[in-house]
Amino acid sequence: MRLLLSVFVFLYLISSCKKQPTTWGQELVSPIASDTIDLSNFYNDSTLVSVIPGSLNLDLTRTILNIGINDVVKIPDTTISQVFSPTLNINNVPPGFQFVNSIEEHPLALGDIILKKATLSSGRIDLKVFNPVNAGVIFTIEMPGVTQGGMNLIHEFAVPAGSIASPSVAETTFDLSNYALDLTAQSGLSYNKLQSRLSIKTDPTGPVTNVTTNHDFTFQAKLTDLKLSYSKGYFGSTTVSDTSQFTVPYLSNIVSGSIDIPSSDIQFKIENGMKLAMRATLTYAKNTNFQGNSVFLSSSLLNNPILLNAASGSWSNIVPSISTLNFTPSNSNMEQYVENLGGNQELGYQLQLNPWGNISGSTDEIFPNSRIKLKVSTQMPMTVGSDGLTLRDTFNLSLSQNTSKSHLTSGIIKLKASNAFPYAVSPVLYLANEAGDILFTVIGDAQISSSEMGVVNPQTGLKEKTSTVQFNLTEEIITQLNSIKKVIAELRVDSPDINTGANIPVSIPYGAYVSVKLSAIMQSKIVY
Amino acid sequence: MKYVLLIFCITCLSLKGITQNWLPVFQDTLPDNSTEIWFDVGAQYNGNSLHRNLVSKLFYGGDITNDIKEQNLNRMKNVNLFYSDIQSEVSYRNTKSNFLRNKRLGWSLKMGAASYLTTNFSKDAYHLAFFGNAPFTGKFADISGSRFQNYTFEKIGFGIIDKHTSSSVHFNFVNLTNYTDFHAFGGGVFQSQELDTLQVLLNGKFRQFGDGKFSTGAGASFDLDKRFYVLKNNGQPLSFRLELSNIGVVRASSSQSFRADTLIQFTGFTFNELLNGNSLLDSTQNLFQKLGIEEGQETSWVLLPFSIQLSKMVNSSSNALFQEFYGARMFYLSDIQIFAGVDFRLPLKGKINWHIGTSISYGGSANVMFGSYSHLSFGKWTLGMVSENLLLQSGESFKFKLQCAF
Repeated sequence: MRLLLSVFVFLYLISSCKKQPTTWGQELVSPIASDTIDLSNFYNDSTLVSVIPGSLNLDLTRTILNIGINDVVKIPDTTISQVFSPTLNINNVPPGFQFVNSIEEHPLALGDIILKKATLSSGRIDLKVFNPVNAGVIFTIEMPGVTQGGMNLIHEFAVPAGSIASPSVAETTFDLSNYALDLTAQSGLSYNKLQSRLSIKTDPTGPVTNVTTNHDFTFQAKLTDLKLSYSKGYFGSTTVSDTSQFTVPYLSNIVSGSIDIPSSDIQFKIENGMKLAMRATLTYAKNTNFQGNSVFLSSSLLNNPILLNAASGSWSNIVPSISTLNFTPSNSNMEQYVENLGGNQELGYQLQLNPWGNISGSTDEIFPNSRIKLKVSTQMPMTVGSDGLTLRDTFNLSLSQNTSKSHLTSGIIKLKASNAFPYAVSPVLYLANEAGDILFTVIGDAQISSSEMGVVNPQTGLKEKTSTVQFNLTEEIITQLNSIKKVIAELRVDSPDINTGANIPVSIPYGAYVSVKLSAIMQSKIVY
Repeated sequence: MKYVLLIFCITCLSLKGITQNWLPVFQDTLPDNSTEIWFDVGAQYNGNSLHRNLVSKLFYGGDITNDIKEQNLNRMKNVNLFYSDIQSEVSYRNTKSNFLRNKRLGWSLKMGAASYLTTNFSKDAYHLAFFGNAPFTGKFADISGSRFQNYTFEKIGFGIIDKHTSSSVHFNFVNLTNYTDFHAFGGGVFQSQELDTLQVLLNGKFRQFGDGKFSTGAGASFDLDKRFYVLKNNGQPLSFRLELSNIGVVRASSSQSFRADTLIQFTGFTFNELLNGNSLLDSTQNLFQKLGIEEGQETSWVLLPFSIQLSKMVNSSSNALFQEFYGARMFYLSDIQIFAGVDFRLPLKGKINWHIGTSISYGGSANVMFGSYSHLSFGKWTLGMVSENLLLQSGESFKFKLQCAF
C-alpha cells in the first residue's frame, strides 16, 4: 500500500511539473502587396485599346469562328489491300524469280468531295505483307501517286518462308508528313483514288520452290490520322449551322449597376480565305449579363445571306474575300445590346460552301493559310458614366492556423490607393467557405476617391487622389480563418460630378492608373 | 523533530531565492577516508534586467500581460544578460582504497546531465520579441550583438582524488544532445512609417546541432577541483579552491545552419504573385538565395560552456562560530562575478554539524544578489541547500546536495 501511495505521489508530482503554455501578444505590421494597375493590364485581352494618344476605345473585337482545310476536308482512316495469285501452278521456281503484279486502284470514301491533289501535313501508313510459300520472298510495295520529292513511296520487304495455312508476315510504318497525293489514278482524269503495285521475287539465295494457284501473296496498307495542308478539287456544298459562345472578361464580373456608353457601331466580318465560293448567314446574336438578362440583337441584316467570292492568290499570298455586316444604332438595337453589359456572348451562323455546286471543274483549292473567319468588332470611346456599377471577382484563399500554437488574433488590412481614374470605388470583401457561402462581410471604412477630387501629379500629368481604406478583421473572423476559402472582392464604381455628386459620363484619360499599397497590422498571440 | 522543522524552514527560504552552484564549499582539514555517494541537482536562472515575473512565465507557463511586458521594458539596459542552467550529477567517491597502489590517491566515477542557456540581447531585441515590430514603425529596431546559446549534454567521467586535500580531476566522455547558437553580429528591422517597406538587416548566423536524437556529437572534457591553503599570521590555514568545469570540446554535425550578411527589403508582392501564387515563397531555396541567406550543414568543434571559480572556503572542522568566504568566478560568455559571505556554525552538541550562511555577489549575468545556505551534517549524511539572490526579483534557483558515506 505504501508503495502504491509513493508511486501515486511521484506520478502526481511529475504531472504537476508539466509546463503550461506561455503566451503573450504582439502587434505585427508588414506590407502585403504593392502594384500599379493601368489600362495595359487589359491590353493583352484587347478589350481596351489606345487608338491615338489621349483617347481610349473599348474594343470588343473577337474572332469567334476560325476554320481551315482540315475542318472542310477530312480523309477517313482507310485500309487498302492487294493480292497476287498465280493463274497456274509453277514448279521448280528458281531463286531470284520475279512476279510483277499490275497497278491496282483503291477509291477513298469521301462522299460528295472530289479530291484530286493533296499535300499531307501529318499522318502515317502501316504496310503489311504475307508470304504463303515455303521459301523466302522479297516483296516490293509501290504506291504510285504517293510521292515525296517526286519519288513514289516504295518499300521492299524480305519475308521468310511461310505456308498457306500460316503465312509469314512483315510490316513497317511510314510517316506521311509532307507527302503529296495524286488521286487522279493512272488516267490522270479520275479522283479520290489511291494506287498500288506489288512485285514479288523469290529469295536469290533461297531454295527452288513451287508456286501454285493456292498461294495468295497479299499486302495491306492502312492510312491513319491524315491531315491536309493543301488540297485541290471540289469540296462539296455542305451547309454548316452552328452557334459560338465567347465571354468578354471584366463584363462577366459586373453584378449590378449601369453604365452609359456613347453610341457606336458593331461589325460582323466574314472572311473567306479558300478558293471556293461561299454563302454565309448570321442567324442571331445575343448577350447575357451576370443577372441572367439576355438581349438579342435585332436588325434586318440578320438571317440575310451574304455571298462571298473565292479568295484570290495562292499559298502565302492568299487574299481572302471579305464581307462585313455593319450594325448601327439606326439599323439595329445596338446601344441596348451593348449596355446590357453581357459578358456571355452567343452568335448563330450558317455557312454553305459552293452554293452553286461544282462550277469550277473541280479546281477549287485550299491552301495552308486559307481560313474562314467570323469576327465581331466594335470600338467605342471610353467616355463612360458609371452609376453603381458593381464588379465582383472571386479569389481562392488557403490560410490556416492552429490556436494552440502562435497565431493571429485580429487585424486590419490597410489599402492605400493613388487613383488616377475618374471613378470612385467603394470596396467590400466577402469571406466565403469552400461552398461559396458568405461567412463574413468586411466593408471598407472609406471610399477610394475619384481622381477628380485630387490634384495633378506633376510626374504623370494626370489628376490623382490618394485614399486610405481599412478593412477590419475582427477576432471572430480570424478565429474562423481556417474555414475561409474564398475572398470575393466587390467594387462599386461611380463617376460622380465633383460639384453635384451626380454620376455623369467621364472620359478615362490616357495612361490612367491606380497605385495600390496593401499592408497589414495584425495582432498576434505567441504560444509556446 | 525540531531539526526537521528547521531544515524545512531553511529549505523553503532557499527555494524563494537564487542558488549559485558553487556555494557553499566546505573544506575538511581531515584526510578523506570513506566511500561516498554524492547526489547534486540544481536549477537556476538570473539576469541583469528581466524580472522574475516574466521569466517565470517563460519557464513555467502563463500569460505575459502587457503590464509585465511594460515593466520589463522599463528595466531594459543597452545590453541585457540572461543565464540559466539545470544540472544533475551522481558520483561515487572512494577514498578508502588506493588508486594504482598510491595511498594518497582515491578515485571516483560520476555521471550527469546539464542544460545551459545563455543569452545577451539589446533592448530593441526584447521590444521586438514581446511587442512585435509595430512599435518600431518609422524606426529601426537594433538587435546588433544579440546572441542566444543553448546546450544540452551528458557526461560520464572517471576521476582521481587527493585524499589529503580533496583535490580531484575528472576526465569525461561527453555526449552532445543539442546545441543552438544564434548570433546577430549586426542587424535589425525597419518598418517604414507608411507600412509600405519592411527592411531586415542581418549579419549573423544560426546553427542548430541536434534534431531530437539523443546524440548529435561526442567529445571529451575535464573537471579540475584544486584545493590549497595559505597560512595566516596566526598560523591558521586559509583554504582555497580553484575549480574548472567542463573544459572540453565536442565534435558535432549541424542539422541546419544559416549564415547571412544581407539587407532584405520587402515592399509587398505584386498582384500577379498574390493571385497566381508564383512568388518566391513557393520555394524555400529560391527565397534564401534571393535574400542572400546561405543554407548548409557543417561539422565543427563546439566549445562546452566552461566555468572557472577561485574561492576561499569554509573550514567545516573549525570551532569558530563565524567564518568568512569570498571569491570570483566566470561562466562562459558572462562577465566575472565576485562574491563574499559569512558562515555561521550553529553551536549544537553531539554529532550534528550545521552551518548556515549568507552571501552577496555582484556581476556575471546578474546585478547584486543576496543569498543564503544551509549545510547540515549528521552521522554519515550531509544535506546542503543553497540559495542566492533572496531579495532581488531577477531570477530563481535551487541547489540540493546529498552525501552519504558508507
